[in-house]
Amino acid sequence: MKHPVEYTRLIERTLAGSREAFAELYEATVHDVYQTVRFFVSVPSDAEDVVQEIYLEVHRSLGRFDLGRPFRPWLMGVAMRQIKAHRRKGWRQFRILEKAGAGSRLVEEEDIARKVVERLSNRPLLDSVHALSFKLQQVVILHYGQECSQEEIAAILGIPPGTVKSRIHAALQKLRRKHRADTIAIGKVEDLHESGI
Amino acid sequence: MSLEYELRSSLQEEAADWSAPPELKARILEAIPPGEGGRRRMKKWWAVTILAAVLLLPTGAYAGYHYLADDIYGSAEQVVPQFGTQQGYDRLEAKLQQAKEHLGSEDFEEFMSLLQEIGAYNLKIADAEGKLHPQRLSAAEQEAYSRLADELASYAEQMENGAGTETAVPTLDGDTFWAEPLAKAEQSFTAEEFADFKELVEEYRAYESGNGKTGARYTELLEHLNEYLNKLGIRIAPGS
Repeated sequence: MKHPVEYTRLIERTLAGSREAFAELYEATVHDVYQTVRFFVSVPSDAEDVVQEIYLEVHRSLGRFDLGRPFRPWLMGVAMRQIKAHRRKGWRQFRILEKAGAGSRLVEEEDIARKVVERLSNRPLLDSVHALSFKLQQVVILHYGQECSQEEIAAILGIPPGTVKSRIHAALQKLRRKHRADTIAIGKVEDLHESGI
Repeated sequence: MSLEYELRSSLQEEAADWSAPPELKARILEAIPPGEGGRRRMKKWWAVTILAAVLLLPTGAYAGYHYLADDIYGSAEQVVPQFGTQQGYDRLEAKLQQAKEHLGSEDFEEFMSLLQEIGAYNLKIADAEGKLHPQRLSAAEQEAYSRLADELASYAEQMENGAGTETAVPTLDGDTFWAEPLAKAEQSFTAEEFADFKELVEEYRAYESGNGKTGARYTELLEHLNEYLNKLGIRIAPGS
């Protein structure tokens, strides 16, 4: 991410009609945006579509951006709204396909894809993060994955800082509980294995 | 190892290889409609909001008491040079004044807030020609949008129904319009001021009833008149 003054300059040039300035703005920010999207949208081609929607929305609404405010939370706010819209759209499509009788196949394919990724990654903690509700996933990914401060997350999601804090706390509690349950389960499997059954 | 540390390193490790493909940038830049920038969009929003107001509200004469449109846009001076014309602003203002005439103050406040809300959606769904495409909104937004449009339509209906029975909206050359300011002026101005004000009003009404509104005398007259009217909390726009 660039210095705020550089963002202001690029935004002003973009608003004046410069495509090059918008391209620079894209270059300066796409890394964080793309990574955030990928946490929520596992299929790369879908993630690219979402990133495209994000930047088109940014370009459309840049005139409403208050130059006195930091750019990153505003941009990430646009990103989170598009991610949410994508999830809703995915759910709607699934419902339509389900009515047409193809829903189960779609779910199967998605499940297989996810399971392969999960097996390859073999990281139970990440699986637990993905199993959290969307609201809790948002704060965890922004805070621990993107190193956003609690104040930044509050600005991104448009919620009070206190709510961010309590969501992080709730997410950590759930993850801890799951972690503990997994450890016990692994222990039991190891016991069974060692006892030769 | 703490859970927070583990979480941070797992997430960052997971994302380490993720980067946007280089061709995505070109794809996005190609998808941006030519000549579209944020400021142009603002203009479109303004135009579209006026359009929405114009389509929704019945037409009629307009008395320029106070610029209601200023509540939405700040002031005509701020908006007009960048985004529109004085006639456009006056047209919106006329519509709003009419709405105020027809609706009670509570309903009117609600109506104004609905108009502002739909304006924000219109910004998202207007294309380069100012046409609206509600299908660009998400399902939930579409639902909210049509709810807003329905609510606004019911206000418009109220106004349409009331339009046949109500007495005529006062015009600037009508006795009804000037009766109130003259009565107020007589009470609050000195005798000398009131005489001067009365004279200005007479002259202004002569312009309104026939003479052109473009001359230098008309502008000067309007300035003088507005100095008095400001004291009474009233303002007249050029050409209204």
